[in-house]
Amino acid sequence: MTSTSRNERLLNLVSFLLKARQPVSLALIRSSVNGYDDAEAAEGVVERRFERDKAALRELGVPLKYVGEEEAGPEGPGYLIAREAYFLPRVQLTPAEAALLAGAGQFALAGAAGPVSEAISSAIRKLQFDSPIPGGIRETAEERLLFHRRAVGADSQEQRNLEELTSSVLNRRAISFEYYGIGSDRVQRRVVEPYGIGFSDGHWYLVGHDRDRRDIRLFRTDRIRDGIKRLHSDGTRAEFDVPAEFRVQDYVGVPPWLFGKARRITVRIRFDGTVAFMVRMHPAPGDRWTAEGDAAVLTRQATHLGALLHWVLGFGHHAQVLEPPEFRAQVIEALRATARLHSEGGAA
Amino acid sequence: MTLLPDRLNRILTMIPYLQAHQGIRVQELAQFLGADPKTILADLDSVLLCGVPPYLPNDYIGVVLEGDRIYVSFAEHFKRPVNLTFEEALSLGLSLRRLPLPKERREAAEALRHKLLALLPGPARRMWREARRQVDVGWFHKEVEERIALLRQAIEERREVQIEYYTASRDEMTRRGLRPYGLVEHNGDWYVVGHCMLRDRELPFRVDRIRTLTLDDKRFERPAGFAIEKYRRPQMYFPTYRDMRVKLKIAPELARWVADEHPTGKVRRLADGSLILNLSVNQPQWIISWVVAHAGQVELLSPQALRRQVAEACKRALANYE
Repeated sequence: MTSTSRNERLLNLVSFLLKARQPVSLALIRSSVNGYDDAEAAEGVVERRFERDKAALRELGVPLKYVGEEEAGPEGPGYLIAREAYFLPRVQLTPAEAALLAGAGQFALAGAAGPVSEAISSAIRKLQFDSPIPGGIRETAEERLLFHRRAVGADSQEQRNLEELTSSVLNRRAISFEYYGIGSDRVQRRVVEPYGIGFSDGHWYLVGHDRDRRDIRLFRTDRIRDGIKRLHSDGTRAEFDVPAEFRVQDYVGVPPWLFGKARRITVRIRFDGTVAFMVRMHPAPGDRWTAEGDAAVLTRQATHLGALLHWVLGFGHHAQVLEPPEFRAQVIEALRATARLHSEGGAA
Repeated sequence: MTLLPDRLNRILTMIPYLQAHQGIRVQELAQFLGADPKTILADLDSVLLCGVPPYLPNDYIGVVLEGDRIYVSFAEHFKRPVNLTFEEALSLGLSLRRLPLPKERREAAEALRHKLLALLPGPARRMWREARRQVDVGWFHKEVEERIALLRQAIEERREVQIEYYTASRDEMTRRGLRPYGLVEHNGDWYVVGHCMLRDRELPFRVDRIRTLTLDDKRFERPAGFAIEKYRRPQMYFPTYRDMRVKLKIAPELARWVADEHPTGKVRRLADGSLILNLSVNQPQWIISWVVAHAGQVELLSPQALRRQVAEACKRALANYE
């Protein structure tokens, strides 16, 4: 039977291995399991097919083991599924925990969890085996809570990319993709060792070591064109190390005034009581605050004063730059220039 | 994951579930699996073709559909679902961190996370800790989380709150009573929606613009017609009849970024690379701040009244330096 679909072939293989009491050899699988038993297949075809299937099953959590000569009994070496590790242990959830599952399910359904949405839904299905959520997720979904994200459709290329990226991050697989760099305004192929993935300000970002640029770079996932390619198709082994000091939080959500490796300059800005609390709720690494009555003074580090200039100007009269003097002068000059530009009659 | 393992993954949970719920209706099964009935029936068709050697009739998994009820047989070897994978447990754990929870539910979330962790083999537990520095589904400042926790309590107990709120569109801080009906996370920002006692209508408020928040003892009834779904929309604020047409000129070095953020806005590119952008704005203050922030790179061309306001905003800020 050569027409067996891959889905059915994999299910046949799992059935066979779950029922087997001893390790089974590839030869036995080949001669008896539907989907592997095409006698006319060229040398190596069945072996390669089996390798791909093994990787797919492991990705689904099927503990497929090879028992070698030394451990094998009279039946000889071969493959088996460790049954005690295959089955989900009995998990009893309290009503409060089950309610949390419903919330997490809603988060995932809305696509709010981006790259991990499908994994969350799958986990919840499994956990409901012992602890059903009364009424199911959609029914329980609170009518008082809503997650709305920029549309990343469940079947969209971006969503598939996000899932593949997360899987590559966790399994340490090198990848390549076509990326639109807005700075260079060009689409280029990038070869990346993906270190981390994170969400900030409405977008998902990949952080990784760019092999051609030999540096850690940040990629906005919606600027990836087409799909993600794995550099090595089997991809079952870790292909690189993530540096011990790496934290995705040190890259994703880092404000533009801390980009680059230039020397850090200390800036002091006073915010009045109307906006100080809002600035505090969106902190940058290294921020320090001192209260001054209703107002507050922020001490902040910046490598890139140009970016900080735009940020501080956005607060208008609610902000006052105290130090350093050259930054203060830049702010004054920018405000004067904008005032001048808008004082004369409109150009249009 | 590609499409195919998704289907197999679903089937590996579906078979044990069917055995535990013989005679379940297609619709119920579809709901449990989070897929539509058509997909479920296709899944079942493919299960029918699976079995074990020597593939005699009773070696195949049996699926019988009686009306809309499903029965399975010869599938005892699939007695339970596959254990959680590392990725599934981690993902669920991360999402629990992101849910807006009142304080007392934080403990339940912590307990659930421990149960998830206990399901994983030893090496995976180490990987979990490791992965927290690699996958981040976003976070909020402690003060935002505290406000959300308090708001959730108020929503559930239907208690009015008093807020001090910064209205960016008017650049002013006001006190008002609010009857909170629900919370919306919109593209990464949290909003509380409810009946504003000051304006006497339902409005959304950004949680990170609430300076102070206190719970009142006044109770309220949520109107029966309240539907949070209507906030599932591209922009949080609806355009109103007061909308103003604004014309901007964007310098070439900023043009690409602006075109990227406003792909649908009306854009005209000039020969020197700069952009003419026409926007519909219902909060003039927002556009004024934006023009001031992009000093030298943006000129507001019209309307005249807004040009004057940009110049005034600059002068007001300059007063801080005199």
